[in-house]
Amino acid sequence: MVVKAIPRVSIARNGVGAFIFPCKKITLQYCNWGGSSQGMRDFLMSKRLDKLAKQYPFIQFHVMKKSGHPILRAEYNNNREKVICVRNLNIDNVENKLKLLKDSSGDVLRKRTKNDNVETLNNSVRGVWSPIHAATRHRI
Amino acid sequence: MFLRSFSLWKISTSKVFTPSSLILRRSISIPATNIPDTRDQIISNDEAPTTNIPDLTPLKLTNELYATVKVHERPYVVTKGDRLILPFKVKQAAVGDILTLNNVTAIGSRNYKLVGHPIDPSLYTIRATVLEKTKRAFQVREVTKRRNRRVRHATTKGDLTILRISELTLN
Repeated sequence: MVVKAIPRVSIARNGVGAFIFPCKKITLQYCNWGGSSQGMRDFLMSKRLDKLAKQYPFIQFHVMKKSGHPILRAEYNNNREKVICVRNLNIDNVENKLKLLKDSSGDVLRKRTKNDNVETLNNSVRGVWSPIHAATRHRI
Repeated sequence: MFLRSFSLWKISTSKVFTPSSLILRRSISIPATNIPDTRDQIISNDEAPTTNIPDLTPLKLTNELYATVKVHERPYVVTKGDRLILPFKVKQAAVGDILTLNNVTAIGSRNYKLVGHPIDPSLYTIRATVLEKTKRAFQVREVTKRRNRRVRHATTKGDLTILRISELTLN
């Protein structure tokens, strides 16, 4: 009988070896007429977007003119997108929201329980404690 | 009796190579203090007492290691490839940066553990990549006082920094 290896698919873990930036595209949507787009228009007129685009050449920045409230829309590697409406926000707040989208990985924001701070796929290094093999005074 | 055992020991060493620890255990004449106790021997330092560098061979030979890393005095037990969620925003680091963790209190395998307060950073390399800087889910908590109808709604949306342990090795 031929011994067959158990088929396993390697699990992608970003950051072990190579790191791929999770955010791939950010769309900046503004309106040329509406007052709620004033901050967004200021941001686009300033040099801040050029600076960011130079700093992050691997992110595609797409400026789009469309009537309605201004919107920031980010697309991520996990096929999700996040949208923030930036109506009536000033230039600094728009920039902060843009940076928030850029630093995110696209995952849903979840509640976290206390002290649940490490997520692992590896088996326990130290193994499970056994009452049979423990030292005599701790043995059950 | 003594002479006989001694001679036997001599013959065995001359013919085949045996590790020194085995020989010491077999011979009866050696004082008890010199008999190596496996666990203590490895962690405590016998070879170079002045430099205080322990013999890490059993830890280096294992394929799995864990480490207790401290960040802002909070301990996290990590292995290679883990996602480490720090409950605050690391302002100095950007996404994609590689951090070197140098406050480590324990590195161990299944059977052996190296402990320090902290361990000398030259003994190991633990690196982490910043994966993302995100937030917890938005939460609204109702705050009430007794004998009062007013309900205050306290909102929270805490910061998180997520790291990936990209390297955990002994030097």
